[in-house]
Amino acid sequence: MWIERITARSFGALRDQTLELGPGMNVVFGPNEAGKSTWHAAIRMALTGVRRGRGSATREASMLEDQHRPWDDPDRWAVEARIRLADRRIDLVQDLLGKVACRATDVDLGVDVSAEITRPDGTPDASIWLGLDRDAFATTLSVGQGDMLAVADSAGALQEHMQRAAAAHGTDATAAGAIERLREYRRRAVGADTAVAKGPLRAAMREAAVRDDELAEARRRHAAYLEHGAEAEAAAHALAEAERRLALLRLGQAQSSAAAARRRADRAAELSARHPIPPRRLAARDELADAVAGALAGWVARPAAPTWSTGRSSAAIEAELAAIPAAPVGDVTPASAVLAAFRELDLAEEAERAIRRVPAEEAMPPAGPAGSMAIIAAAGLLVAAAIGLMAGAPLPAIALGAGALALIAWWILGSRRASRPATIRQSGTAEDRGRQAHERATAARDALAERLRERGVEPGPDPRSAYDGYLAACRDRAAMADTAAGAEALRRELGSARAAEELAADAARALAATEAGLRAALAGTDPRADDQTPIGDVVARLEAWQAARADETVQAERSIREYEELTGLLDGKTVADLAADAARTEARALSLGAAAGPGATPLEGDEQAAADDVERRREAAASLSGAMDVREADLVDVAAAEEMATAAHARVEAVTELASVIDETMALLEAAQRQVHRDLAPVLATAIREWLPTLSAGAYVEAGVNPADLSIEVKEAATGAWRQAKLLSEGTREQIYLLLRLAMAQHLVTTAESAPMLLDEVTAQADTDRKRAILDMLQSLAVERQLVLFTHDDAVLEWAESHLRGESHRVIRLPASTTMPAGPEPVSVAIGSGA
Amino acid sequence: MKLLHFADLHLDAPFAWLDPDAARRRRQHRRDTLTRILALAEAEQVDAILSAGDLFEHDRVTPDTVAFLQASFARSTRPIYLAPGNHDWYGPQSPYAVIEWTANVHVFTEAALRPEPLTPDLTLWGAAHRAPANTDGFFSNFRATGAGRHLALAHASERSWLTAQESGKQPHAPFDAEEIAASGLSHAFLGHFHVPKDAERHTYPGNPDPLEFGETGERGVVLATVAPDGSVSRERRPVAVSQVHDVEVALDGCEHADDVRDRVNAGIGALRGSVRVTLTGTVAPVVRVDSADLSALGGHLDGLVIRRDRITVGFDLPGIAEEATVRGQFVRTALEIPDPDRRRRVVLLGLRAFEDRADLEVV
Repeated sequence: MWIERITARSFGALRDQTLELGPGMNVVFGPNEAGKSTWHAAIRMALTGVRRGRGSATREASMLEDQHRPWDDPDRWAVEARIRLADRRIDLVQDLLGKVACRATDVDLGVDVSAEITRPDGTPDASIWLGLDRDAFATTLSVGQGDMLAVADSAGALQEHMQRAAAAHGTDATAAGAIERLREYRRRAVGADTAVAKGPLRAAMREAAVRDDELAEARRRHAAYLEHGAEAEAAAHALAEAERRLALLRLGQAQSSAAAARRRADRAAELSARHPIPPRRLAARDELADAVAGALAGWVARPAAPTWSTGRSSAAIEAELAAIPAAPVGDVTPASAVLAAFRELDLAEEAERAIRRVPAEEAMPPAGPAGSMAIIAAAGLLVAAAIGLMAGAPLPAIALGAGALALIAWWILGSRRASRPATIRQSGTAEDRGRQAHERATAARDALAERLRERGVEPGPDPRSAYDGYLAACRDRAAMADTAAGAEALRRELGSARAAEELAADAARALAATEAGLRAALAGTDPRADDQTPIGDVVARLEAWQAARADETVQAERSIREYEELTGLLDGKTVADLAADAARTEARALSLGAAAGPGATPLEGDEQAAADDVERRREAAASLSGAMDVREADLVDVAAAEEMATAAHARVEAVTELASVIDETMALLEAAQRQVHRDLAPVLATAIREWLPTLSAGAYVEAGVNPADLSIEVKEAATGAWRQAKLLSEGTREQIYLLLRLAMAQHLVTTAESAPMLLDEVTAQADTDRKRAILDMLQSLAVERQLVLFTHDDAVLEWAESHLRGESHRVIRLPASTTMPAGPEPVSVAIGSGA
Repeated sequence: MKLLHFADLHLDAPFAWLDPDAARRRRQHRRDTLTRILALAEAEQVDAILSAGDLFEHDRVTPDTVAFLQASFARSTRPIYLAPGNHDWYGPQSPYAVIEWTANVHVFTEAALRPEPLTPDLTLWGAAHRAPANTDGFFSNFRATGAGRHLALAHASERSWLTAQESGKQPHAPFDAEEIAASGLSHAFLGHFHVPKDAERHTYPGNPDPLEFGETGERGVVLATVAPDGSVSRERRPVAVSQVHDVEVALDGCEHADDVRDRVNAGIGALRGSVRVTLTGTVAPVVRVDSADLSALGGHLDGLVIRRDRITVGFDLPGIAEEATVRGQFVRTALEIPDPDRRRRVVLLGLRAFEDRADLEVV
């Protein structure tokens, strides 16, 4: 970009004046007050315009605007420019006052291109085509006398200027300064994050901790309040239950009492009606009743009438007994000794007869008849026993009979056993045997006779006949003995009959006495009774009398008992008192029932225990209720505590977030600084390196720029040592500064356009040689960009007029004063052939 | 059958963004709102009052609020049905359990719907949250039994509407809308969602007194008339005591801090209650916008919140980003910060630092 011309329509003291410029080096010469600064400002504002609205981005810009308002035309403040871009010409019109009639027009196409360079506030700014803005245009493309003075006066200014230029367009700040401001801001707004720090962060954290504690305490108390409330409610509920139980118990008891009182009153009324006066008491002893009872008891206990089975009287029996003979004297059964003697005789005689039949008889089967008889006898024994049993004979008789038969059988068998040895022993002569048998028979007859004598029977010559007589006598006596035995039975019967007859007599006497008693008793109960009344009727009448008397007694006793009951019931009160009591207790029961509510079921149980339970629960409930009151009074508003805590944490969060934002901002700034300085350092070094040998007259041959802080070092040609640029001479530093500013400017221009540079009195402090060196360098640099050098220095004008040749350069002489409106146009001289 | 349905009063809930006195006033407003609700019920002669949960906040409720509820309900001549929600969940320590309510108050205490006859032909099924979270849905696998029509009262989340809620509501007791009809219920009167909704078979009345800024919809109480066929007609009535205003104040053209104050004053001067001012527009970098200064302008309000995050400061960021300077490099990298608010703060702070400004604070 280069500026063809500037027209100040109304700008400061300038009015409708134009400054024509060339694309190379332009020297604008004028004495003081010739308007150099005004043209300088006019160029800036023609290109960039001014911000819409009050206030400016920088103090410098604001001051500049205030300085260059029209002196005599408050309604118009305008400046125009024609600029050349790489491929087109643009006319710029800046309505600095109203910011309305601003526009950019493509001269060749006649097209409004304002939109390309319109800032967000609606004003056009041609620095956009350079990648700059209004403020940056001034700081980047303009080098003033002050900058040169600073570099000359301060060795460190050179580096600072570089840093500032590298930091930001349009500000005086350096990145390091911005970071330091942020650091200070952080110290002030955040503070350190250490336990002992007192900055906002720690203060907020401490407050948050306090608020948290308060909130925790508020919540704890609230939870305790809720918990206690539940306990108090449970206690109150338990109390209500206990009271309910007590009420139901009392209701139950009241109802029972009411029922009892009612029963007592009703009973008393009933008894009182039945016994208006005390009943007569019974005699201590009722003799008549005792007599009747005794007579009836005697009647009940009277002996039974005697009965007889035989029907015979004792007299009849005595008569029959007198007719029975006396018992016989002698054996009624044959004596056994007699019987045995007879059997011996019988055997002896048999044996004798047997011996007389020998030998014929010896050939005969022995003991045939005897064995048969024994067998028959045994059989007869069994038969007799069986018959005896079947005939119903008493067992002793059967045994006796059977024993006799058995004896007979035994005897027969025994005889045979005894005769056999005798026969065998009769191995002697038959005679001997006959004699022995005879002897035996004789002895047997003798023995039988003796036995018969012993039984009082004279045997006579024939014991056998005597024996038969003895047996017959025995049989007779036995018959007589049987008859005599019947007399004994009669005597026993007689005894019984006599005893029965005595009993009957006794019973008759007792019965008579009983009946007499009954009649006496009846006479006691009924004097009209006579003795002819059948005894049954007497008994019946007495029993009826006794029953009636018993009823009478029972009734009397009942009356007495009832009267005693009445007395007990009244217990000193009246029936009316009892009725009133009953009504009162019934009313109380009704009242309790109503209080208990419909459907309440009365209880039975220990009322005192229930009352004690109620009291205990009441105390517990009261205690909890009291504690509840304390807790309620002790409560802290949880919501308010939460609000305080939330607010405190919000402050912590805000400060923490601010710290984070500051930290990130500083980090980004530091990173950006490193990045930019790293990019810029070689650019600057290259710019210096090309001119350094010329500028230093060969003393220095190499230059380097430290990316960390943009400090510059130069290499001494003679020694090869590197030196800090700030140690160079003032003149050299000035030249290096200009080199760096130009390099920086081109570096900061981010478009393909070259950047015009406005230089204001940059040689003012230099001596003649340095001045020439600067101007020579600028002329060389002006090949690549437009330079506009404002100066009041005649030496510079002289240099310009002698050095600037060609169409691209201009030497412009400003009039001596610009105070007059529409004054003379600046004289713009194109230095070239024919100029 | 005429019913008054409300929910989500949130008595004793905190207001973290208000100063303590203003927060206390706002909490009082909610009580006053309940008084209005009960008065409206008397005036409208409703047959019953239905509270669908979050009547108060269990963890914060004060004894005074408990006493207030007890006395207020005792004064009412209307039957009152209370279905505890997730903020006022039913438990042994709950005021619902501890208070001896008057006979006109019925508290649903089970975590499943239980019947309570309103008339011989109309039954109200109600349920309670018995924990502050993880309550299962009440309507899945539920079937209303008995003759007549059936209504429900509960604190529950309709699933399809969860995303529409402004405060990211958790799905307490979730259900699908079609479960209402499938359960044999004619209508469900619900709470939990603060944004009001009149669905075919269920109703959310919304919070009756404002809780936050930016609340939309016709919130208040619902007067519901139940026809014999179980259909419900609804009428919404505002009962809020608190005034909450959202105001945008454009700062375009402001040249200094006084301009900003004047604009904010103009925006809030006629308002009462709580006001949130959202500052918008583009201000020059030199213009100071100080939250503390502006907050002081709300002395006549219950609360004033100043939002500055929508202000654009008049830096030519694209232009600066083109610079080959440290500043340009800084802006280029700072503009890559993904979070827009963070990006704004870092950029502004950095640029102000370059300008050596006193008002470095960027909120």
